[in-house]
Amino acid sequence: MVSHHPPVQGDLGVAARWRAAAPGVVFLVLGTVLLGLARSIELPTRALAVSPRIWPEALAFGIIGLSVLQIVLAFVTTPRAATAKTADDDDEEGPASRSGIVRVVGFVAATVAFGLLWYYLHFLVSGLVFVAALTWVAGGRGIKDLLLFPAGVTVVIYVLFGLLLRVPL
Amino acid sequence: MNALFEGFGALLSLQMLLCIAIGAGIGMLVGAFPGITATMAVALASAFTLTMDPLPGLAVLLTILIAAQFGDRVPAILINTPGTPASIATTFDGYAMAKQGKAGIALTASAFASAAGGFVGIGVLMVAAIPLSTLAMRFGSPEMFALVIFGLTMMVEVSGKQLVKGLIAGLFGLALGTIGRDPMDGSDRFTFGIPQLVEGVPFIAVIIGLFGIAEVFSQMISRTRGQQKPITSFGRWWPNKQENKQLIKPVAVGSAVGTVVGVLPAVGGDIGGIVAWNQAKRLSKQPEKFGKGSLEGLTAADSSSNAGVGGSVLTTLALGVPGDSVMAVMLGSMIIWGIQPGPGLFSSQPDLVYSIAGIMLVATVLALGLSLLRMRGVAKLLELPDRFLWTVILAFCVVGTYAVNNAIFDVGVMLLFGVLGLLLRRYGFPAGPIVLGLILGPLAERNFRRSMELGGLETIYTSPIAVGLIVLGVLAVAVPRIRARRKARRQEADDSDTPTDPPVPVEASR
Amino acid sequence: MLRLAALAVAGTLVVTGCANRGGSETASGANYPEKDLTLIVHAAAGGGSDLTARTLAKELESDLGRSIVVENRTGGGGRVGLTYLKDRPADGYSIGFIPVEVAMLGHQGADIKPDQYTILGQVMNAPATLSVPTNSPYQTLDDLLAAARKDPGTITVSNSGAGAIWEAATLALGEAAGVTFKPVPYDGGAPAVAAGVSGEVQAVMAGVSESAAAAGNNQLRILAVLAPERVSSLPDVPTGKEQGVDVVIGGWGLMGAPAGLPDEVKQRLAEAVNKAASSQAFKDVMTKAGNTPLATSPDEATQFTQSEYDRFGQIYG
Repeated sequence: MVSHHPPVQGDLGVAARWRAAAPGVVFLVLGTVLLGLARSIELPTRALAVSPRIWPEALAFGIIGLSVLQIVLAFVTTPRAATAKTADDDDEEGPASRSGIVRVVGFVAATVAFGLLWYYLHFLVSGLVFVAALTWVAGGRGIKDLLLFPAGVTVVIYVLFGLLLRVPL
Repeated sequence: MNALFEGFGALLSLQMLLCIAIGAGIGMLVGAFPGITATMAVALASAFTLTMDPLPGLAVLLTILIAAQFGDRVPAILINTPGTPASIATTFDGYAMAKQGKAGIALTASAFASAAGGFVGIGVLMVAAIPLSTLAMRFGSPEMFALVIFGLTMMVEVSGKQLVKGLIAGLFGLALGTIGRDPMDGSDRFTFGIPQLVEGVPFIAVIIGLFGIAEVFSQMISRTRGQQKPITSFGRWWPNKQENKQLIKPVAVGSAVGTVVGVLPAVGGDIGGIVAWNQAKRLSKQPEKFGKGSLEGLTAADSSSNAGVGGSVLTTLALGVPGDSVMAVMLGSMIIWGIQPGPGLFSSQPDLVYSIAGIMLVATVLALGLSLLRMRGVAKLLELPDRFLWTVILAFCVVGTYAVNNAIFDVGVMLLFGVLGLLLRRYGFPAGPIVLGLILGPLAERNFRRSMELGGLETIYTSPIAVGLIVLGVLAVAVPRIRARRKARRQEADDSDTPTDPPVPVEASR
Repeated sequence: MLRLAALAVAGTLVVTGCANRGGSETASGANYPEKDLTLIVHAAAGGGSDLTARTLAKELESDLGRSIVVENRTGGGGRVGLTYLKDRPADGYSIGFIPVEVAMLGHQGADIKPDQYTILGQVMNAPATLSVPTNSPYQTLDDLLAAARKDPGTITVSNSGAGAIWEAATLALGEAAGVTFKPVPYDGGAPAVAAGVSGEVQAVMAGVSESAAAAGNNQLRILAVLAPERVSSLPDVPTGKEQGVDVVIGGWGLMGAPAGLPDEVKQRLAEAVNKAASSQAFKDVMTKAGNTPLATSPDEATQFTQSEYDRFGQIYG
């Protein structure tokens, strides 16, 4: 599970260093937002032993501190980190392919669309469309892939969740 | 002894065995589907079992709970999605093993470890219920706070070499845990007017998103057509002699940790598994393998979460206080049946206690048998072509997540965390600490602030248990690092010019 | 079965939209009910509210001659379920279990008021109880109140959670007696009782069902029950009023539907609810769970809810 991507690969150009620092910047922003939110928590009228702001504030400071550290590390780490990686590494994650990104976006979009469709149509219909759409995005073509398989999956889900577990689908 | 005979004897009827068989079937099934938790299945079943006699009713409910904690290992190992929260820690090593082509061994070892943990928990329930329950009673808010802090040290272990990133992820999880009603003054905090957030971020949706959906997305994004699937073979199914020997220690550690954590009120198998994984790593001779497909890590986690069942049943029966959320549901049923759990139960109805233990024993054996028989069939699912496999996983995760609260909102959260999980792992942030922070954060905050209300910091530093746990946590993080550093320095001095020096893991963890 | 019917007409549904979710035919009182009903519960399956609702549903089914599907819409401390019920069409096919939160959440920032619902009748009461650990020096309510009077804000009283009814009960008791307690919220009723059993807090405010179990094991001593009269499961425990503090507070449950239910439908449902709540089966389950079964008329229940709403306005005001 603990997968990691090489923070910096090959040449250590400025662009690569910034790329490594980018998540640090994002978390820095998140930490700052959290700090702002924590500071704006209204204090309760009833006296409490400790302020309700303390815990979120402490977390915000922690995130800010560590993300600054992360940004700094992105600029000062030596190439050793990059070479050590190949020595015993576990799962190499292949580079993102363009078609792969399209597929992921397609899955997300299909799920969002399903959420809307489901509100208006019965699950057996919307679910069928949803599963067919997913299969299509993932590369399935033809009647077997786009009709029989989705129908099977939808019915199994419906029987298991809807009829047996009485989930209001 | 007489009570033991009577108690076990009461199980020897066709009806009882039938009830256990039904429970085992339901439990395995709901466990294997992400989203449907044991709590939910037991709650739904309790509506039916209330009309039955107490013993058969309890047989169905307890067996569902036990079997669910066998079934949930399967998706955790094969598709990186915990079937119920109790198998979060299973994914750490189980899925890594599967990717290395060792899914067969992982599944078998996991089933045996789960059963072994289960037996230990039940044994403790039968012999040491009363003394252990007094221990549980001594765990007040300050002690719980210390225990949670102890659990949080796992963030360090699970982060491996990426310590800074792991800690950022952990704090992010803790921050997510602050969303929801303020535990002390009851005002809405960071909910932005969304009622679904008042009770906190729906955490099963987060787990399924971060683990399962992110894994599917990650495969989709990098796989080009015709490329190898991550799991190509299952390898051997049975561990060899050497592996068997290797398992004794982690299973012992896991069972011990799991029983104790299970005994504590209101803490379930998810936390038990995580804490045991952490302890087994610290005690292992090969801690560097943890999280990368360690058989030890897998079995420690699994034996622990199942030993926890015995522990939480113990607390429920001996104190009348539910050991976790499933037991809360079961306690409700028991009261309706006229069973009054509490210290008196063990003296007034010892045979009932033994019957319950007996049900759990039979259920564990049955669930173990089912797991071993059935696993190969389930594993066949993975041989589906990618386009079908991805679709099936996503569709079931969507519906399973919806089923938790019957809420589309949760599905949105799951999807969001799926995308977030994909981004995070591509940038090298581990998902484990986020989930850990989300589970333990609210517990830490509540128990800390409650301790402050009850008497300030004094409540913590005057409690021997709390101080002991915190000191233990600090030592557990610090000592191995200091020792490894010292060793590394010595080695460097000795043979500084050997180029084949293996990379020392601690070096990179700063 | 609604779902099987839906399966059969799945094709037409594509065109018309699904009756299950969006619209619905207008209910005509005479033939009501023409299809299955949905009963919405704000709490998770397996809890006390769910048990009440499911037991009642079983009785309603035999009277109305239709299946009743219990749907748990959990979250937000009752907000999600109550909001969901309020937004359902008022056609008599969506009914709900309405908990005491309907009178509280409106004062805690949610858009929930009693008049958003058609109230069909009250079915149960879960009076609050105040207990102390068995080794506590306080033998009576008076002892505890005297201690709280002497050192205001030092007597810790556990409850099931911030903003929940048992916290409000602690505040209400303090107000009625003119003393200040220190409410300490826990993560549910059982942990709150456990804190009392272990002596982490000096007193516990909890429902009868929770504290009666602990008292039966001799782990807690119940000092008072905050009900109008003594409850059957605790015949020896005096009420607050008997001990000079006139405060009645606790959890309760109504059956209701969205506001604007047609009159004939309301009448038919109210009758059915009343009959179900008076049935022996329902009474048995309620008593065993430590609650007081009840069967009041829609008017009584509506008045009661409004007065509770006003009272919580004062407590939180």
